[in-house]
Amino acid sequence: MITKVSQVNITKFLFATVSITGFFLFWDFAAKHLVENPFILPSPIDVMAGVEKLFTGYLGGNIFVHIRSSLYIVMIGYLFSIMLGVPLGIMMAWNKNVDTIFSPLLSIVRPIPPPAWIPLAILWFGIDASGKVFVIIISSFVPCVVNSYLAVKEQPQELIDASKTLGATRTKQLMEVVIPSGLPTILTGMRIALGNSWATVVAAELVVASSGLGFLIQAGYRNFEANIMAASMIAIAIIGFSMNLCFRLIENWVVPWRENQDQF
Amino acid sequence: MIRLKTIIILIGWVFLWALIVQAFQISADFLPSPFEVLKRFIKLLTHSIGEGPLFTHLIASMERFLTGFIFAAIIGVPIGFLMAYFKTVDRLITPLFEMLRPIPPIAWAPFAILWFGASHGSQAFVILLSSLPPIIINSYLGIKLVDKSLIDAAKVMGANSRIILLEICLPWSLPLVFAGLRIGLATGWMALIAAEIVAGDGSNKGLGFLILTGQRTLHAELSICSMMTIGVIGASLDYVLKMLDQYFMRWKLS
Repeated sequence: MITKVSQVNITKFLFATVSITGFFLFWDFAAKHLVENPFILPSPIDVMAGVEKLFTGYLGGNIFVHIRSSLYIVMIGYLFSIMLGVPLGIMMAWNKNVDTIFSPLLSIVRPIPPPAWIPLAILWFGIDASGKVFVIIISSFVPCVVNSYLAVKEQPQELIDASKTLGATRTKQLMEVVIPSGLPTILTGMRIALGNSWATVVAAELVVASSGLGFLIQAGYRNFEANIMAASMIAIAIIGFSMNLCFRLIENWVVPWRENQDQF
Repeated sequence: MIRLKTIIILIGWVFLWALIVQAFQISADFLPSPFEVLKRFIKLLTHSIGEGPLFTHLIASMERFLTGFIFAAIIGVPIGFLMAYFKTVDRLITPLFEMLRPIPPIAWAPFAILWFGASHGSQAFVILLSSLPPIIINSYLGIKLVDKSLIDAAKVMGANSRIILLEICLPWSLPLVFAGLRIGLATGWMALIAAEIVAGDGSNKGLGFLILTGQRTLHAELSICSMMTIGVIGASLDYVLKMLDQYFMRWKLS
């Protein structure tokens, strides 16, 4: 049985190597023989040069300066939206009056894509960090609210009834039964929110910024250095991927009993 | 009854907005009152900004959106099916998919401008990229989750693989494929506006262009009323698809 599993893994690994190597070979071929214009399609080796340039310093510091500036905005906005969104979602599901007051407002704001707020944010808060923090709050607020709401609403009634029978007050029901058992869903919402805010900060920095990874892409575009653009995209992907991974590890640690909901 | 309550509370929120603008004497460049937004909306229906009135921008945005979305559906559904049907395809494509997925679609926008031009193609490409993953994943799952006993039963009755594909796998996977298209539609609509704002310099039509113009000319009411248009269209697109889903998939077991 064990040998069978590892055989499958080896095959998977081989196929992955073949397909990724094939991808890079095709990219290199396309860059050198089909497009022949490093500004439109830089070859992988060009991109490596771009990565090196980012490490030695490009427009206001090396890549870590830009990463820090993007992460700083994401973290502030993200923490704010958790602090606002999770309690609001829980309260909406727990108290009917809160629900009737806030759900019409949410149903208006929800269909507006977060990047659509970027121009207004610039108008209201200026082009520095605070405007971007505002857009981040909007983009991660909605998944936090929706998932916290669902987490409380989709409670098994037996749990609540059981705690009622044992004499729990309403506050106690919420704090000791409903929230702990809804925690996996709440955390899923927070993970979606984190991904959203990372994508949104890139969009906001593409529009206007003076540092950050989105700014690097835009700067590469304006300075005719496509390899800088590609290198920054790689950095964005690596950081987005690691943030997601870290969050999953935290989830496994905080709610080890959760079912694995993601199949892909 | 519930509808009426919702409407009353909505009016309450709008009233609060008007009251705040009135009470703090906020300048209209900064936060316009709801009446100014409404006035601008009516004006926008007939007066043109950029290349035309609201309708022109709407059509331009819809064109970009549909180009991207239709391509995503044409590419995504077959890829998902092939991945589910042939293990080799699955094993070759999944690593690439996993490698490219962490890049937010909007980060491709500058490259998309270089490759496809700023006025139509770049936005469509970003939309394609953002609605592709849910479409692929759901088509894949649609085939993978087909009830094995159905396939066995068909085999026992002498069905060949073509009949199994056409008469069991495809109908069975339809609800999930449709759900994937719905998610793809929502993410694509989100990406459209992002792409129009990021790649906005190259074109002067589209709803994203209107939002940007509002900001650049200090007409916040123009931005707000375009944002509301976007929200209303996004919500109605989703609603229409939901209705279609309920109509066509009424045989589906919930």
